[in-house]
Amino acid sequence: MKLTSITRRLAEFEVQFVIAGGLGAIIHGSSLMTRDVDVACSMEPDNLLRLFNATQDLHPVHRMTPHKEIFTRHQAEQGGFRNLYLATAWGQLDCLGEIKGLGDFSICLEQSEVLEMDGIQIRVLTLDALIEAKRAMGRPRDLHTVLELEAIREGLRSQH
Amino acid sequence: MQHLDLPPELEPFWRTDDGRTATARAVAYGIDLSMLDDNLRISHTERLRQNDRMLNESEALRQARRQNPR
Repeated sequence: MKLTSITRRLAEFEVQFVIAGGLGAIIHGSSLMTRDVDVACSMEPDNLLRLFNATQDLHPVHRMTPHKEIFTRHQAEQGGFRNLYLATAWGQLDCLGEIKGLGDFSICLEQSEVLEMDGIQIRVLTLDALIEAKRAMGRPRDLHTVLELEAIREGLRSQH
Repeated sequence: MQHLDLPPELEPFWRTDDGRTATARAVAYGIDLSMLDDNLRISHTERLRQNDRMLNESEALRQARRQNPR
């Protein structure tokens, strides 16, 4: 699996996205492991088309559908998705039109920061926003992440 | 209060009004702070690559176990 490469690929194709979820937590220092890339992204057709172009050679399929239907250019052009749960040759990619506890892509964008990764700029939810989103989920599996991120935040604040 | 799906024994760790610091709460839960310190010493990019490495190693172990069931 190549989750880092998926992230790079999205940025290289100028997909409008903000890293959220477990990968966002890892970027902020969490010790947990994640198996997918969760991003908040614009669900407008032009962005979905960039997403399609970025992933088409990775054989993206809708992994939640019974027959793992292929994610097609036509679907991207049509738009109308709230979320996209894709499986690709490099790993799982979840594109979310809205993040619980925060809001839609434009709000996530406001609550994000830019990171440089091998010369490419990517956006990730701020530590505060990620904690808010994880707290809003309120699932047992989010508890560990929340506790780690809040301890990290406390440590960072004490340094300033 | 927010609805939680947490078992009652975990709910105290979700609270922030217990007078404990976030660090104390994390330690009480069993989080190894040295792992967080280690992560904060490396770059964002290296943290992502580390996750990829761990993921692929755990996947390799899973496959090996599948091929050699006991």
